[in-house]
Amino acid sequence: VNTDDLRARFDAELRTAGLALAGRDYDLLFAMWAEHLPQREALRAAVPALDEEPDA
Amino acid sequence: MSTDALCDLDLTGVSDAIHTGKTSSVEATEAYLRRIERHDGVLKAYITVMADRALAQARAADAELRGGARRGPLHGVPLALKDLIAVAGVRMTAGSRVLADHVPDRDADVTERLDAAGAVILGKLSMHEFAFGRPATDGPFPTGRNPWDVGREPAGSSSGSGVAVAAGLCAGSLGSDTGGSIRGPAARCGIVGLKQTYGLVSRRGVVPLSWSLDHVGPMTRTVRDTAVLLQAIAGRDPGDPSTRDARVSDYTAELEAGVRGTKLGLLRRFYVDSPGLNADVKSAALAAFDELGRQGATIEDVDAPTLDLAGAIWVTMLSEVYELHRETLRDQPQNYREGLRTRAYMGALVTAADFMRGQRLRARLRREVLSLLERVDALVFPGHSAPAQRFEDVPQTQIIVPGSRYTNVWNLLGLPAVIVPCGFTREGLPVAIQIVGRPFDEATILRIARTYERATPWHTRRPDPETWQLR
Repeated sequence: VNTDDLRARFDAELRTAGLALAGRDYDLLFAMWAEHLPQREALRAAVPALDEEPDA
Repeated sequence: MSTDALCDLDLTGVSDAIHTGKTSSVEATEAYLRRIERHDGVLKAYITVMADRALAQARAADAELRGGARRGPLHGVPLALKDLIAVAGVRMTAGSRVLADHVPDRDADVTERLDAAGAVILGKLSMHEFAFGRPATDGPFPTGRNPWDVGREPAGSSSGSGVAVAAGLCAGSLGSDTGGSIRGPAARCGIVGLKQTYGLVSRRGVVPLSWSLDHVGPMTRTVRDTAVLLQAIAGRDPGDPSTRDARVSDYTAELEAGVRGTKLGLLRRFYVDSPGLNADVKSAALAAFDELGRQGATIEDVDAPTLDLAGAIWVTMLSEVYELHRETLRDQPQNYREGLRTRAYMGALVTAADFMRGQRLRARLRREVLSLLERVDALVFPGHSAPAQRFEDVPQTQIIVPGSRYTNVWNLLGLPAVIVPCGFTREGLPVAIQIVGRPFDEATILRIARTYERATPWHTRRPDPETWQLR
């Protein structure tokens, strides 16, 4: 994934979350978000079985 | 008894000295206040010292003792609280400019319980901002310096709680733990720290970080001291629904019973074979497990495959952090330190579907680990990935600190976990092992911890006050 695509995806998530950040806050959050992407992908790839419920 | 001699004692030692008349609660309180006055300019363990209130509590404790009434082992003993635990009428900052002027009007449940036990509260301890910030040596709320090397951080977020106990600036403390905030500082400061079962100790009156992960627990110099403090603070509280099923035991009754016949499971793949594990921590921890074997425990390697997803699951809990802070983040973002502000924003980017995926996998991980705990009495592994870092080496902007896998898993699962010192690195920095048990079975992990402690000298070592100087 190239940086422009990542930025577009990040900006879309910011809009969905209702966050309007600029400057250093934007840059730091982008870096943090990008760093965490592999873990998030791993989470999404670990598909639970149909009967796997969250604890009450 | 001299100030230094008294402050070198552990909590039980101070308690015994007061009980037998070798000192009084007022003399003990004055000794700690002198020690704080002398050393806290460098160590920065305290945000607020409550000298007048503490001395009034100590005078009352002494008066009761003179009248023949002793409430228990904490009677007259000077303790301190992380500055997110409410004491009515005393400023509570949570280490943040956001709460710089906040004064609660009611005690936390744990404060009430310590008061009922006759303890003296010396003050409020420094911490990472809202229990999720990073170390700071400047600004209005510095987070403390490690007494084993003041150029290093004590870890956090209960940084002052770890520093104050290790340096003898109180006889014991309470911290809070959402991903390792008791156990990290305990390991790096060379003391015992317990994150008990979720729901055993009330969080009412404690500034929250993440409701499903937050725990309040003891930090002390010895395992017995931790058991004594836990006994005082554990129990149901109608003000905290998580405690409705709390099951309290006698935590000191079996402490000296040893580990013969006890089965331990070593989480070798995930923790010992982890490439991020410091070599000195690894060798000290493996030696500690050998010692437990010599003491009569049997140890087998065990594993839970979903441990590999624990970090990802934990991050989904940032939704709780964001929900707590979103209005203040919107209204006064400038009052948060930069690193915390960014981490809190991350919670806004966790989707509802990701959160629920995290919760389902969290339940799977819990089933796997509880299944292991049907085969063994407790799980053991190194207590942390690395010793205390130099301040300049601590990353400020990562979501979770490196090595947090050693602790945050056990917040997700709500299982009791205790840190016990197991030696020192070649640079003289403390290292520790961690022992995890079944729900509400704190008595077993404390017994295992005490057996190891009794066989080794690490809990008797003290950092050298002569080194508490800034160059």
